[in-house]
Amino acid sequence: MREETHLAENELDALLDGRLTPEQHASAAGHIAGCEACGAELAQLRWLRSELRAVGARAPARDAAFEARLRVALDGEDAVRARTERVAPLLRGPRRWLLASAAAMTAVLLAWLVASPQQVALPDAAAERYLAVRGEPAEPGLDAAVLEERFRAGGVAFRARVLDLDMLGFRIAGGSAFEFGATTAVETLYRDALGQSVLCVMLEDDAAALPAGGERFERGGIAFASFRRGDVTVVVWSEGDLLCLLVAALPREELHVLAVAKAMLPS
Amino acid sequence: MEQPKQAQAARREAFESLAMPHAVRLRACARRWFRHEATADDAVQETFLRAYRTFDAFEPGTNARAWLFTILYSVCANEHARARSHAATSLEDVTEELLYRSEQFAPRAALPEPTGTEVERALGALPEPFKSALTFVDVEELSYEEAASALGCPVGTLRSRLSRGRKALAEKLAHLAPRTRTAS
Repeated sequence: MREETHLAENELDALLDGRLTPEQHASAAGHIAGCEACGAELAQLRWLRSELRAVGARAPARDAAFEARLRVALDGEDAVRARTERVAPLLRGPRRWLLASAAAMTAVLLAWLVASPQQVALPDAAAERYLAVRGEPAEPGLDAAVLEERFRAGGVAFRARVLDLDMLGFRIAGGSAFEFGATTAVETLYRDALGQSVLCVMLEDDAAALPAGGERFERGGIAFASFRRGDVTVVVWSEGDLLCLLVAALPREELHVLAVAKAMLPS
Repeated sequence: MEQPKQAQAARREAFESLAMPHAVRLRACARRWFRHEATADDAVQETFLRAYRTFDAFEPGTNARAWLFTILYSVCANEHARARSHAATSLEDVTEELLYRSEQFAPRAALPEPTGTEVERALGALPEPFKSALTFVDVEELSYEEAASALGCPVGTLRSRLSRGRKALAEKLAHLAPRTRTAS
């Protein structure tokens, strides 16, 4: 008669996983001893579990290169953390940089406007541009919506966007659209409480190819190229037909983290 | 100024000694989910970054592996949701979208041929949420409570998923199982 009332599947699983109370275990074990079907089913479950545990045990050996990659990422995180700790107290105090002149930033054509953005000169021109505008007075009250509207008013027909770097203490300080040749570029200037500036440039380019050279890395399916010009770092990536650049005199890893955090796969 | 630097270095060292030994299994697990190496590696890297950011909240003495797998599962689920959020506009995209719906954590790139043993392939082909339940409990040997916490479900639900998942997998692999006496 015992064979006709088999153990339920979840009872077999609980028996397999040692999840039964001593009384339940004794009862189930007693049943198994006299029930060929339940015994066979439990044996099959035991076999299956040993096979699955073997899958876990077959994990490959430690990979030094992959661990090095993780450490580089953690280095970037450390840099951001250190920066946030430096900046946070100042953000709570008076924002002196917001008291700067409200004069709109003068739009100056980039030296590289006439050159192909794919050319290696692009990082040089971007670094020069950064050095020229990083000290521009901030426009109080400027936000992303206002700036994007300014881009559109400036004739920008592509999907230029304003990155939100607020989390890292960088506020929008200025920005404009530039007409050049057959295409247009936009730039957004950010500044933090320490007076450090970051410049973001976006331009439409059919090929959207990264400039040659530089340090290459890839995150989340997006390829980045990083260039060092003096104490200025230029990170470039493409989002479909949009070429994006972040430029700042920040530690290289810190700017990489910013770029990786804000880059988007083309939709 | 030296003191914060030293504290940060100590924090970093503590995190690495706790988390780095688990990188191999996290990576293997992510690769079983995604079957796409670059996506899996990105997921593990993101897991490490998130874990590092919240390391101060980690309770020493608790299961670090379960903690990391919980984060990995969250990262993978987000990645899947992000991949699905890309609008399906072409016939190719629609086909891709249907593939995504057929299996959670499907890779965003074209599906390569599954690799590994027949058991691994059969496990990889199990539909979610059974695959994750079996992966956490039977492959990674997390407790029911740890696995349920990682998957964000009650223990009873996990138990049910385990039972159904094991049954489905056992049926798929019946031809490999050692012969037992005929069930009555």
